[in-house]
Amino acid sequence: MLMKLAIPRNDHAIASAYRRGPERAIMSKRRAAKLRPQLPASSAWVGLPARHRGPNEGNAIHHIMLREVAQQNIRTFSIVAHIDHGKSTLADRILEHCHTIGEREMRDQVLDDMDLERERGITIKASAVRLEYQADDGQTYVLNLIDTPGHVDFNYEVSRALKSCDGALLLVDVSQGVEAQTVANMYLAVEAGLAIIPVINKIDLARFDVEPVLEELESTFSFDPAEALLTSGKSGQGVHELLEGIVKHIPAPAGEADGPLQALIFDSKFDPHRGALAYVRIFNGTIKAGDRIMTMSDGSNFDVDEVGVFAPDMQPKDTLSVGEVGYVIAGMKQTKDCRVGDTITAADTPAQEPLPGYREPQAMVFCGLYPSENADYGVVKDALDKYSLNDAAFRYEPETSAALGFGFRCGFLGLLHMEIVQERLEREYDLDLVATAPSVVYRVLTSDGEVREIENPALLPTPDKLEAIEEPVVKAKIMTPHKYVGACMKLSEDRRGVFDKMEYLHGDRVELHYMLPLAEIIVDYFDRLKSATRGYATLDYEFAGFQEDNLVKVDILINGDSVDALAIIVHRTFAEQRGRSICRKLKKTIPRQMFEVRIQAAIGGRVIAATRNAPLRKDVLEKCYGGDVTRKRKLLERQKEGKKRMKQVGVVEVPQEAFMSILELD
Amino acid sequence: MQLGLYVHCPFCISKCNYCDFNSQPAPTELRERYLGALIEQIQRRVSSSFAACVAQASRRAEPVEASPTPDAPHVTTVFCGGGTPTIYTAQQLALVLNAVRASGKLDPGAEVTCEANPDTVDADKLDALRAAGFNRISLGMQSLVDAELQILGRSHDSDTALAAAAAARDIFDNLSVDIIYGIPGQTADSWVATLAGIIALQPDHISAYGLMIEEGTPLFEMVAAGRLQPHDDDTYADLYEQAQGTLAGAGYEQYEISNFARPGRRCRHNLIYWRNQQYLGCGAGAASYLNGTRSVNIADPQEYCDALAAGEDIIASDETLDKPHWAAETIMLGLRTIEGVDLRQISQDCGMELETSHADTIAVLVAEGIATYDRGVLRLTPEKGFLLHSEVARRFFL
Repeated sequence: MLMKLAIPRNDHAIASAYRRGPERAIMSKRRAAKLRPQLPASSAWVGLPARHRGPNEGNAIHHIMLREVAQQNIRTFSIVAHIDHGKSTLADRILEHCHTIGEREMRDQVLDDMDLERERGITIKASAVRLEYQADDGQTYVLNLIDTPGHVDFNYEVSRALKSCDGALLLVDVSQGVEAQTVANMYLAVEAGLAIIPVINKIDLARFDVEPVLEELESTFSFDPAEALLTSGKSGQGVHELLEGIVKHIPAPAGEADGPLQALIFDSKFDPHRGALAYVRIFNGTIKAGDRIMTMSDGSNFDVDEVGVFAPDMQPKDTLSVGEVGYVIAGMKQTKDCRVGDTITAADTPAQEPLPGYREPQAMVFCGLYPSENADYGVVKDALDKYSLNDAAFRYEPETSAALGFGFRCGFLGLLHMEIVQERLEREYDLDLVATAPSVVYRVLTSDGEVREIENPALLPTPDKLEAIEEPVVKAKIMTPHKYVGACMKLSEDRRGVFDKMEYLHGDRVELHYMLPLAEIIVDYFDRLKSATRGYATLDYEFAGFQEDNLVKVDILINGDSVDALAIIVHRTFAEQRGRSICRKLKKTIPRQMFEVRIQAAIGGRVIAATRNAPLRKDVLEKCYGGDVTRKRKLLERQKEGKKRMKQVGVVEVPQEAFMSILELD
Repeated sequence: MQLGLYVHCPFCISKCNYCDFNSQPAPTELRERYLGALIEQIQRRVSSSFAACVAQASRRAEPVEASPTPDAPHVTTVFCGGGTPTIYTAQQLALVLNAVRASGKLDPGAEVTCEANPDTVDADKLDALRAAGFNRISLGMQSLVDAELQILGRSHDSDTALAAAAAARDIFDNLSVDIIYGIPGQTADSWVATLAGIIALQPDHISAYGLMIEEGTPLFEMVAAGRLQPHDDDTYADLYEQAQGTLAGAGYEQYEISNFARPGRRCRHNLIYWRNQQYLGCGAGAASYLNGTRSVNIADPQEYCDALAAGEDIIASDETLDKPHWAAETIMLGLRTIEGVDLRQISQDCGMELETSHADTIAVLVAEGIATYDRGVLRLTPEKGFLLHSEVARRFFL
């Protein structure tokens, strides 16, 4: 799902080159240098300019002679850690120790490929790297390190990535100790049945004592303190011992090399030249170029062009056999053809069963995305077309708004996914977007018996044509230390949550189960949960169906005109409160204008909240004489440029932030 | 062909706290050298024919043969501004005016203004200025409240200002004074007191400017540091309305956003700017607008003198306006005045359809009492329109 295009935000030249076509954009110098060595003369690249095809220019750093090792010499693991606990730095040291990557190519956080990831310090999508390690026992081992994302929106992706491992390093920062996210991810690893090696990192920080962290590991997870390894990602101290520990404690992969092929897709990405790449872990059998394969969720067939590994860049290989981790290129046009969690098998001799746990990606959160300037519609469409090749969970379709013009209704896995997609679209495609407040999909029964799905609140039929409105509800699992149970329950009940049960886990941890309307979760529920529990609570939820409730559409009117892009659907009991809150927000966001601006919230024709902005009284430049004419004209021109970003509602100029600001509660 | 002449003096005794104009205190030698350069530019530029002015497109400050033609421009207004022109003696300023007169282009009925700071003039000097040919004095009084003058960083107090104004009133038939509202610490009462004191002097013309706190000025720093509290827009508007009411009551007509005059005493020079007519700027940083081209001279007095002495180009930048920009400027300038702007005429001149393309805007402006619209002429109303000038002008920009 990763696009390996890292377009610097300000590099308009490259960004606009991207608009002209992928062949040119992909060849930023850095990328070109990275791509070239991956392309042996023999590979089946067609339709590319000769300079892209090779020949191999002999960059030895990339062209590592891959050694085949026996199945029992493969170790596949992931690193479970809280943000900032040094995961990426330690991973870099491991890579260095195994000489996988030359110093010339070394850059911080090799695994985090996207600029966005490196900036936010988080892993948005998984990635994988294959290492070779000469162990103290004299044998060569292949180590596969799979990096995982860390957010509830991507819990499913995390679970598939962990499923592809046989072990995990539980990394704890000596200065921070065990933290909430560590605990949450640790449980996912345990659930996936992985062997766990506790690692205390940053031991170069001399002023911190290891003992308390060891105790914490023991009390929280029942680890034997003697099992813990000590490392420093900064100095490289303990990395050798860690690698020996991995060889010793993480089991070799199970499965049969001559069994029917079962390869789990744990991630995918899109390459503009080669189509979709599936990241796979082979659980049974062998796969090689020329094989005809099938994705088991839908029975689609493909011919394998190439298989290979990430070392750390893509490097083709003759076969991928049981226990190996790598990539498959098989003429898949987009990432929707190789969905995370799906099983690849042989088309002629398919496995009887897919690997368990496949789930269709489900868009849960929707919002409108509009070009900031209407003329850019085509550019935005183009970008969405390209972006969606790369993100199987993202969907979009054209829609029109009276206030915002032509745009798209887009569906996402969750709020973070939404934010990331927006940011990537703006960055990588140099777009300027206006986003409407996110909403969920409603199922509506009309009075003439029709069932409709409404992804845009503005399109809700009028009350006289409405029989019932159903909204999506989720089964939410909140894991929290016991002392925050009250706060979590209060928050959930304030959000129309229905308590299901409470389970005691080990230590003082508790798991609360609630049925919650998804619409309530997308309005800053997660942030509030985090702040109510000092960051310790974790949230996981899954879709549990549609449920009827007393829901109404609240229209927002500006100087009497209903603004479609500001309409929301809420529970009747919250309608007035939300209406008032939105009016207050808009009063602040919409600047005073030449005339009075009236802002109202209404259900049907009935106004439930109202406020006004008094007319602007002063906007003038003093002393405009001879020498000032040009300067003042230019000043007004600049101001005009700024105003152009505003959207026109009737004669009222509404800033773009207004369309998103209605989401925030007071 | 009529021409306004602006002559810039980039010097002052001390820089005021709010000032972001091209003006600095400077040593006597530079001031004297500058005077010579200024006169040289006047001799070269004003004495040349209008066609030669246009030929200046080559932008070389070379002497040009005087070849008067029937079309030759005559100078109908001279405005000597700054800075503080009266940092020079009356005799020195007379040399400047003589240079203009020597061109043979000075209209006998020309309005000839000199800006003055209260602490640089007395009755003798004002007499001498009148004798030299200046017939209008624009006195920078700013406030009659000493605390406000101190915040502004003025070099004079209110007594000095009143004395200078009384002398100027005696000597000059045409007296204008500048005052400022929106000064931090100013109240409705102190503003009314200043207005009353000014009206009692019976000037012919009053410019009442709203204080703009410009980045890079000491005042800006003081506000940024929280040592001064600027007025909010509503208070500012209240003070403005106070001035409008008081001055109208005293017989002053408002003819521009910040300018009030007794009948027949509107500033002809400044009207040239607002009507988007032609003018020549002499001196450092002075701007010209000739034949559709705006240009600005080198701003630094030393560099200006050097360039002129070396016969080099003294124009730092210029811009020839295309039709849309010309239209934008004409509207921006015209809307400042009570005369308004003729959208129909501009549309004709530029092949635009302003009345159609801006029908909604015009309708809102009229409905809200911000402007009147009569046979193609859009005028901002003094009551609601003038203070929204930027907001309205922007709507007619591209």
